[in-house]
Amino acid sequence: MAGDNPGAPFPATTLLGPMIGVFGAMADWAAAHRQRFDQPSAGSDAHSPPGGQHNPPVADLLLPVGQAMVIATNRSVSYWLGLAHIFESHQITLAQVMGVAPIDGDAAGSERLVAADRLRALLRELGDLATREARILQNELSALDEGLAQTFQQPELSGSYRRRWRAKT
Amino acid sequence: MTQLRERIARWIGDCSEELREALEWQFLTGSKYFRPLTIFSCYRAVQEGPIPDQIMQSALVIELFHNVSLIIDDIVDRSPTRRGRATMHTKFGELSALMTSGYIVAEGYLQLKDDLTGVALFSELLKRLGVAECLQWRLRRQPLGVEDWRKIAGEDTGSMFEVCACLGDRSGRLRTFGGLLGLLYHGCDDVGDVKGLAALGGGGEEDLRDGILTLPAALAIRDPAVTKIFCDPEGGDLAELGRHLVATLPEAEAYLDRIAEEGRTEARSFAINSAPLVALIERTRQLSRY
Repeated sequence: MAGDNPGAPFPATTLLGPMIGVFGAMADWAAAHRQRFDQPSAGSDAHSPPGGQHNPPVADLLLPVGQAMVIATNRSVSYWLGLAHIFESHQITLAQVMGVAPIDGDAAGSERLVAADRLRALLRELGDLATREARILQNELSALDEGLAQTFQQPELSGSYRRRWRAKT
Repeated sequence: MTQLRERIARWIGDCSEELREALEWQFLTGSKYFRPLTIFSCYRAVQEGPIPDQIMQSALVIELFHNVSLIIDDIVDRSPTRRGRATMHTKFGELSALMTSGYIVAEGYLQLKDDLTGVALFSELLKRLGVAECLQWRLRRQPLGVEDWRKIAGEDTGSMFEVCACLGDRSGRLRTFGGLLGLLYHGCDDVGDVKGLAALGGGGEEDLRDGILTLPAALAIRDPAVTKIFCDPEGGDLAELGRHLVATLPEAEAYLDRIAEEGRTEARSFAINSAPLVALIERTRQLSRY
């Protein structure tokens, strides 16, 4: 506890900086790997038949896979950056929460209520971040899905067999 | 908005003669039409072209339901005036005000006709507003925090603007944006009431008297001395409580700025055209700055 050795920092508070650093590193790693999927021609070359002729149906399927990976990686980067930002902005709150020592009187109860309120704000922001990134991911994948469906729609189909619906945007 | 005013006037003309004077009193002056504006802006954020009839009709019905909530609020708060004029129950009596509000609800659902999505959304709205008012009343004079204010405001004004957003975009895509807009509106209203206390010697007294958890109150009662007055106003000095609320205004404004930024982020993430939504945020944010 903080009160036992006034000269030493409270153990949990020393973890905040490294935690934020880890989130930033995860974002950097995801961004670095995103480059692999930003160059779809690199992948499709490996699958080209001898003689350099491209096989359009395979490329039609490979390209969306690559795009889906880019989408997923982008959201991952955004999520980790968001986490880093949230923990950074709540660094003081977390340090205060971990440093609150019980004292006698009404002030103790009041301080604990305030600390709990701030912690609830942190938890809400974490949930909101995850929800928002998931919704964006879902929207982007849905648009990709719509494009794929349109690409592979058989032109000779007509009447009730012809696909008429569109993904919600 | 001109088309909306005309729709409202036509609707009143078709209502029962018995209630027409009260309806004209309530509807034909002073409204900012902020909720219809939200519906139109959310429509424009995802679609191009003129506003279709179904969206216009949704705007009419949201004004009807919004005014029902105002009539009931004024009765519960015992407010003699609204927008500088006598409230409906003050002018026409409580019985007339209550019966007229029930009539308006029935008319609202009739106006929706076969818009089943609209029916579901308005039902959701009325339920959430009812729950929010009961919750807010039950939790008055409790030493709660800012996160509690956020939850209550989210169910009160937040639910109203969530439904407006859903009525506008018709896919639920902008629901969270609507909730944030409503939260911002509620907070700006709270701050504006306290500024009214400070500047004009009026406004917001009902919230003080009733121990309602406003944003300035949630910030002020982090001080245990203020909590004592807030939780037991009969034993304390309401004027002193008012002074403490005024002292929280800079922090409250900063908190509102953060909510506004959340709203802008949401608009940019999910709207096809975020400009009308960002403009709504800016317009709402100005409500507390006068």
